[in-house]
Amino acid sequence: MTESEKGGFKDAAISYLDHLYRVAFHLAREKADAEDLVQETYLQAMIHYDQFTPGTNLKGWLTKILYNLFVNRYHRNKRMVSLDRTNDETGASWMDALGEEGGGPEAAVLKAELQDKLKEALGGLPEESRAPVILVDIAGFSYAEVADILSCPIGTVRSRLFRARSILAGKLRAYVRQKN
Amino acid sequence: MFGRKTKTMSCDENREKISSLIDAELSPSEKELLERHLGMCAKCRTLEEWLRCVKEGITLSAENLTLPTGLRDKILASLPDMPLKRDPVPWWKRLLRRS
Repeated sequence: MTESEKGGFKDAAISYLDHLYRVAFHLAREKADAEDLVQETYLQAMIHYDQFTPGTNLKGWLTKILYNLFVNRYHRNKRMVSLDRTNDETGASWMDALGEEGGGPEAAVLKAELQDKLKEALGGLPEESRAPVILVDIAGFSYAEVADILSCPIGTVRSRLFRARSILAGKLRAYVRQKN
Repeated sequence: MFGRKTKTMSCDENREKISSLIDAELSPSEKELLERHLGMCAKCRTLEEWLRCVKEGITLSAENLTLPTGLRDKILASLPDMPLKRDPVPWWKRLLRRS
């Protein structure tokens, strides 16, 4: 990489700062940890910039560095809770009742109050399901890009995303029903 | 009696695909098959509404998250010496952040 290319790389990398902070904040759930994660991501990216192929997906490359740092630094010591073993209370049971117990979410569900509920529920998900939701719904990545960032098959992204969303929808629906 | 069997889908099969539909991650044939099912199944349509609502709610909830003041400068100061050619954030955006 020439000096000019290095400068261009830094320019391009810095343009993803807002994106990386949003991802870091939702993964780490603490402002200070998110700031450290983003800072460390840029440091690692600059140190290893020669491993990036110009013209490829820089946003994805940076996000992969950030995710790996998060897993290694903040997540390693936490107990992994698999969605496969979570209680059915948050799983598929509410979907079986659809059609028998009332309708859909309607426009009211997009109110700020309910967004807060969703954010809270997202924070409570196990990391393995939270990450695909953050990467698809917040960062706007495709399933193929998420599979690359998380180093897992696309089918895993698809199923984890669905299960995470069904948990969130189940909680949201319970909240809306309680309010009404 | 031995006519061509029409391919149909059960609601259980569809659930995961509904989530992929809202992300535009289905193949054209999968999409067509699912949309045909959704046209006939109120239960799956309601599920689609809830899953869309979750996606939209999560997206909207993150839109207001702003970069903490000073983080950009802190990061730039900590990086190895590689001069920036230009500031990628327009002056008017920086001005808005300060206010």
